Amino acid sequence: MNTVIYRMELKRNFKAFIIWTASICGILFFGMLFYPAITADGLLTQMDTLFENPMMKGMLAAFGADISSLGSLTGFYVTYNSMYNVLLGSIFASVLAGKLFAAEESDKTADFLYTKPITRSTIFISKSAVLLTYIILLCLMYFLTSVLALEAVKKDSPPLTLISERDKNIIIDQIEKHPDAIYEAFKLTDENFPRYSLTYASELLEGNRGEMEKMNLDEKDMNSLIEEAMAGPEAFFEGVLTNPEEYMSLFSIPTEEREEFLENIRGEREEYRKMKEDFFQSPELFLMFFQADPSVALDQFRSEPGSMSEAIKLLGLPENMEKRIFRKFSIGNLGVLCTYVCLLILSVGSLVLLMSLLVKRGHSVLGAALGMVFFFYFLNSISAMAAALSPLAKAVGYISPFTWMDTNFSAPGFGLTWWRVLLFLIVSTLSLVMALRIFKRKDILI
Amino acid sequence: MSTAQRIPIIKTENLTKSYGKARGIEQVSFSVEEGDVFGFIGPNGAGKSTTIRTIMGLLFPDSGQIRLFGEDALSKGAELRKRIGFVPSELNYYEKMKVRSLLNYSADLYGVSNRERIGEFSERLKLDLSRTISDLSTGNKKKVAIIQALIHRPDLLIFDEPTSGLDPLIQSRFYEILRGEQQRGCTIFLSSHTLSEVERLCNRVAIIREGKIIKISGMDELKQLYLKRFRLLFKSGSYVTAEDIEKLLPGASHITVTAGGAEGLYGGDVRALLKRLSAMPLKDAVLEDPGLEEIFMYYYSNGEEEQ
Repeated sequence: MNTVIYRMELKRNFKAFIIWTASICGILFFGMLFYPAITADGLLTQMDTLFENPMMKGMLAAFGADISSLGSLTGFYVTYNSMYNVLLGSIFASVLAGKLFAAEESDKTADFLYTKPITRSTIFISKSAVLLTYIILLCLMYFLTSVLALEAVKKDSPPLTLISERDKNIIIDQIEKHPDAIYEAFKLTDENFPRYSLTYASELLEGNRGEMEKMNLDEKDMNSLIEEAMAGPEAFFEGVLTNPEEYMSLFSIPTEEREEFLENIRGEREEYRKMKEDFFQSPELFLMFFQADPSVALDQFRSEPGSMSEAIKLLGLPENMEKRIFRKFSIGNLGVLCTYVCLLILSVGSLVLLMSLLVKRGHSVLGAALGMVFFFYFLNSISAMAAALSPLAKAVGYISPFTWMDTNFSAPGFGLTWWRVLLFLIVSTLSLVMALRIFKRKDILI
Repeated sequence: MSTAQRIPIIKTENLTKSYGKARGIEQVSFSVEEGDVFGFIGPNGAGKSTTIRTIMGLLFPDSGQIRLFGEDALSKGAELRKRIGFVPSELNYYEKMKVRSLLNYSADLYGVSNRERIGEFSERLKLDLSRTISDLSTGNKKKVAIIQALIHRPDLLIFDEPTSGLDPLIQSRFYEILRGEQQRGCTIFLSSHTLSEVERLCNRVAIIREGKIIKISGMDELKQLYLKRFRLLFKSGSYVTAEDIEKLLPGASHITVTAGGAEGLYGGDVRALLKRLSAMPLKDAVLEDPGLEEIFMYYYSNGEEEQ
């Protein structure tokens, strides 16, 4: 790396960097300021009803919006941010990468720079370092602006259950120390037991979605079935046993297997009753449920500050545990999201850099580069929209680096996934290595 | 020390480069010795720039070798370019930069911390360092190009068409600087498409035509190529045919008869020509330097006739 070239290139591209960063961060910040107005007027609930229409929902989803989470602060942020700013960031990287080397050729300044006593490899590394620096700086500014914007509007937002892995383990440890306290601490009663058991069951189902698809089950019917069961399992079992035909047709079970089906249901009911008994006798089962999804036990404390103090006292948890769990947003998760954004923009930049070196005389690749960015962007959106209909559409979507990001950042356990990071790094590294190979032997024509 | 033992500053061997539909160069071999002012001449499109850009590492040859200061230019190019100053034929610099920062940038790239030479040369060439590159005229850009090539006291200067677009005053300043660098011990390699410029500056020349070197010689030998194009206008009534003129002017060739006059090429002693012309019924006469292409035509058609 040659610091003379690096500093000069930083200086020459500084203005563009400032303008783009200011625009992107400005849109991000001022866009977030709309959040209080939108929640206060109940506009989001209105939108929810508006987007009940699946057609409308699909259209908005195609632009990267996540309708179901639009109401929460982070949902609004992700929808907003994935809608404009990641695209803008990618365009900035394309513009910068597209002219970093090409402009030296098209403006013919290569005759000046490339005849100096600097190897082509050093020139490549110094200039690429400028691209990398500005992408990282942009994402850092993006992160800081996001934190500021979310801090500025967070008071109007409902809190989320954001429990870290560490806090989860602390609670589990304390439960193991005070096993008898859990029933009072988490207000476990006959009435809310079904919620635990069925959330756990539906989580298992979710994990076996592939199986469900094979069985040709209707997702909507399944969801209503789970809801029905959750409302009152005893009544649900009773209903199935007195009127099994309806449910049998749902699972495509032939009528001659009626007796067998009834036997199964009776078995399930027996199992359910036994599970319930176990649940109130030893904490093992509760721990298992808690391990799978702590939010079921914790959500009851979310909306009312101070409501968890009883549980904290009974389990001997740290005083600030409630504050640690119920937050408006998590800075850590925001950092992970911005890392994904950074990796995405880096991949796009590297691809455009490679494109620009494949062209003779430094002719502009900006048109093609923007075409590629928009193609990836809409491919991601469209495949997301069609993913529910066909697994093939979902697979095709993985061509687009936009799909490699994980934007579901209020979900429990959100973090950097190794294969996502690896995909981004492989594409970036491969593009840069190929670009270097071309550049080392590139003829600079008159 | 005899020339045979000295390592040539530039040595190309069978350098070949073709790209696209352009002709490129074929089997170009020549060597430039230390202290030479070496002229590389040929008409436009003959391959002068291709050769120079290959030497400077802007183009990569299809085959052949380049050795600079005795070392392989393809593998050690960057290291060797520390000792080379280069002025390309087309001058383009970062438009928004000030002249001073561009020259400082160039000095930094050569690893030269002393900025004295920038001030010295800009004064000699009358170049305003505070101006922006985009505001510069072609002549002023040339000055920038010359200074950025001299900052690091190179051992070899390579110029591609150095004087095209320069006004005569600055041209002579340029020649002055060149002589200074030569006295300092710098070897100079320059391309040109005008014979008179090469004749004035160089001690050795290579002539390139259609991508091939056709002649490498000392200056004395080149003088034989020295030609004048004449254009004559006769007094009315005097009718002269091409044969008549050839008889009247020994050494004239390629004669065409025009309305009331004639034109052609003359090779030989100019005083003899003037003497003969004064005996002719002339209304007007023009003597000028012919283009290189014309010289080659003359040179080759004469050669063919001899065969």
